[in-house]
Amino acid sequence: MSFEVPAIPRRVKVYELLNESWHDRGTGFCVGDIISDDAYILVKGEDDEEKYLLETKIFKDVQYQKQQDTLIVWTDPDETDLALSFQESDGCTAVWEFITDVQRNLGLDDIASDDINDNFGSGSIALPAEPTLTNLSEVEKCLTIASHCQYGRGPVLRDLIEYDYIGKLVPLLAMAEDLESITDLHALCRIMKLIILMNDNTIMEQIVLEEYIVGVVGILEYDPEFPSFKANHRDYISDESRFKEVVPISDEEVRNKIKYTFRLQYLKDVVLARLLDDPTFSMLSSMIFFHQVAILNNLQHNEEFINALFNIFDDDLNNASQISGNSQTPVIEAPFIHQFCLTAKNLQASQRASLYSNFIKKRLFAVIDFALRDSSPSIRSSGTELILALIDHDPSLVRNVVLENDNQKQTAIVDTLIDILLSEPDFGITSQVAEALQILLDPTSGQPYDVFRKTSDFMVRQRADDPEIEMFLDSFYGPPVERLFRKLSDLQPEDIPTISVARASFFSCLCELVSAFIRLHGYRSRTFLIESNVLLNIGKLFSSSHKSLRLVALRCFRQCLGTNDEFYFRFLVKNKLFGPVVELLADLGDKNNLLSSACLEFFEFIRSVRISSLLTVHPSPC
Amino acid sequence: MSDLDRAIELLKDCKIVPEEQVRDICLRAQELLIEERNIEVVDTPVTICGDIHGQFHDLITLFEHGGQCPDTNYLFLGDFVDRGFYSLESFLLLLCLKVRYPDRITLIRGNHESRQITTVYGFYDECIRKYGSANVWRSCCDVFDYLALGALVGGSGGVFCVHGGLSPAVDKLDQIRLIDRKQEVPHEGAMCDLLWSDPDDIEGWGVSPRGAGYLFGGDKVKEFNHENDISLIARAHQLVMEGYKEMFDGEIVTVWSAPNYCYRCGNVAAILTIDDGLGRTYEIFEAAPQESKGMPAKKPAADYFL
Ligand SMILES: [Mn+2]
Repeated sequence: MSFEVPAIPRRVKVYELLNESWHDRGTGFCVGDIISDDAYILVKGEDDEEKYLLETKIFKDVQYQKQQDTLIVWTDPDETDLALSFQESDGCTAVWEFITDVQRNLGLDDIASDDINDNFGSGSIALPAEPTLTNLSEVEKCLTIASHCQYGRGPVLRDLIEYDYIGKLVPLLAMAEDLESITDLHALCRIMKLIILMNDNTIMEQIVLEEYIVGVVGILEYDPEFPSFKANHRDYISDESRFKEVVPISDEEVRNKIKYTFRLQYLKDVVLARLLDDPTFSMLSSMIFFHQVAILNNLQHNEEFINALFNIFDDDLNNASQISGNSQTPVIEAPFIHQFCLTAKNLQASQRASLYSNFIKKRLFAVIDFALRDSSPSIRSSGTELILALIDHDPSLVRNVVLENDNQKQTAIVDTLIDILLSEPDFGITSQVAEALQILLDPTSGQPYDVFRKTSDFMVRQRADDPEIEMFLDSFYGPPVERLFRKLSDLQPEDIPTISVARASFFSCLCELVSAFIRLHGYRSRTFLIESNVLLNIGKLFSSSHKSLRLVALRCFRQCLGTNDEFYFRFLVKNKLFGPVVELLADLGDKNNLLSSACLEFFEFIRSVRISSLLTVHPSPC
Repeated sequence: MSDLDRAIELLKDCKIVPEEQVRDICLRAQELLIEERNIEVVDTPVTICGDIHGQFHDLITLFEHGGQCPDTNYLFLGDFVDRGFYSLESFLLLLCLKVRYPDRITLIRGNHESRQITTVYGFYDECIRKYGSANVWRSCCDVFDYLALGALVGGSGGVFCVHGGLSPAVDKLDQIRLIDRKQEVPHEGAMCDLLWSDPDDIEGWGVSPRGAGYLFGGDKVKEFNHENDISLIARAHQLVMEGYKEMFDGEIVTVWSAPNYCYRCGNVAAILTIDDGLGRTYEIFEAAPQESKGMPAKKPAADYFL
């Protein structure tokens, strides 16, 4: 490096910006230095020569500003705002020249050049009030500088808003396109990106305004980083037909909010997906969130709207019952309510609770029931996702509805779920329904907002002595459970070899429910599983050629061991059900695979927790 | 051309395959994976790759550098999904290759191959956006449960491969055999640690800032390698700006294969080839030039009501 290192110590005060005000870090002597090819600014303490008040590397990307004649201000990469206040102006000049030389040497282009520095004299970066195609590079420079230091951001943001900059930039797009000036178009795009990354929500709110949004995404179509690729965001965002109104929304403000939210989402997920840094990403996410909350709160308290919405269903329900056997859920309403409820997942628990219970009063369950029996898989899938959303939100809410319905002899959602599980050809829907059933029947899921519930397999489960769940389980462990597991209780040995792949998935699903119920339902499930032959027949599945089926069967028995319940142990021993497990292990021979590991874990469990009644009858093969 | 070969062609163009076919591929993959050991044995020569995180175009670049499958024998250390915009295409391409050439590609599980993590870090949302339902996500998660937890390359004196690292519950490789791995990644225990832990310049075990798994020191690495007759632990899980980083006298290496991570970290990526003499060759590569493929972007949502 060939430039002058300011070796003469210059008296200087060091300031650091803390909580918006400058704090004196002390007075000392400033020099520049080159240490193993890096350039540093060093300030030694006036009182303590050994102590450095400041030891900072000069970075290429940091924007240093010289203000008045004696001040140098910058933001370190670790976000510390620092200032050096020199006693003499020539000291300041010497250090300033060192910084600019170093930066030039580091390959910094003309951003820190002298003409810009003149602007620093006034203490702020001046943004041209009127952006035009002729001063785009000046605008870009100002924004680049401002975006690189905390110090310049505030004034520039104020100017951007005060001058209505977005509004002034948008018309330039058409001009540049008319002139086919790709240089200007690229500059506009870079400017727009810089403005967005200023991460200010007032500006973001301006961007999504009806009159600006098309222009803004138009500008962003000309990304200089992808010169050969042009997106067509404008077509997409201006296609009003994407906004579907099931029931007309009269409130203009809500309509606008819905459109803003859509635009923000589109900006976040598509236009800016690559560009966004974490702070801007989270700002957009939270803006979307607050808009959604406002929209949902408004709509759900709009009686007229909600009644109109559910009335459509009632009409359809009536029509459908007249044309029996031809049930067809209205194509739009179900997805709408689906989206409504899924969006509601983002709400705070209390808001969500009031929304769901309001919907339930309006016969949401009838709608779900209807959707679940629709002939279109996508509508059925909407139905299952809806019920899952409700169950996820608050299983006890759903259980209460089921109990009430039982009293009124109306359709019970549990019966519907079982029907679907037994007849649904679409495996995705089946597994969702199985998950719904499992949560609904989980006594530990009474706490509505337990985020750990699904993964708490290792938690010691405590039986909730909740009368509501007791009643719910009592009614389930009658005809419903028998119907649910009929295919298992009726299973004959000769059925096993003919089990198809699809059927194996179905049996796997049932076995996983059996496992869950063993863990969750104590004596209830034990009595049923033993008396119904379900557990006995699961032993038969060990001879299936489907390995996944053998595995889930093994897991049912493993779950029995986990209960530490002597009744299970005696039943397994009496019915020689360890036989299939030992045979499975013997069959596997020297093989080392998932199944053999599961078997080893099974016997290791018996050994490690010393289930004595089992160890004496069946010496551990380990 | 078989359905599978057609799916591979589609995926190599970064196009999605129909939902029914995804289900079929996932079932076929499960049938294969159920036969694999918890610690799968892999022959040399093999090329070991770290985190991919849905950076599909970079995965294609990886294959250009390392050689196409099945010409090159691959071992991927997990974290195929999340963060990038093409988790689905990346994972399904790898899975199709697995089903098509089971002996030429090994996939082991990373901490992101989990229901809980993918609902937070992008894979779930991506599936919803691309298919309109969570079915494909469910199918993929079912496959995750079957993935092996690690691999052993080159027999005795060879390389132990795992996504995260060591566990205080595992002194000997044989102990891993006793894990019933077909489950969601637990929050604690050996299986969790293997997928979550990180090496660190400490002695013994330390608390991991990640909230799962442990930090483990050079002494633990040396003990483990000595005890199990291993010359190297190859793991991924941590961003390395230079693509790879050997630690503790070259007894452990972190391999990172997602260049310019999250499309902005500016790092290079690496893959590690272990030859028949257990020699190590690192190959560095940079992020794919995007122009030819168009701008990486998420797909817009379809119609909207709210
Ligand atoms: Mn990881």
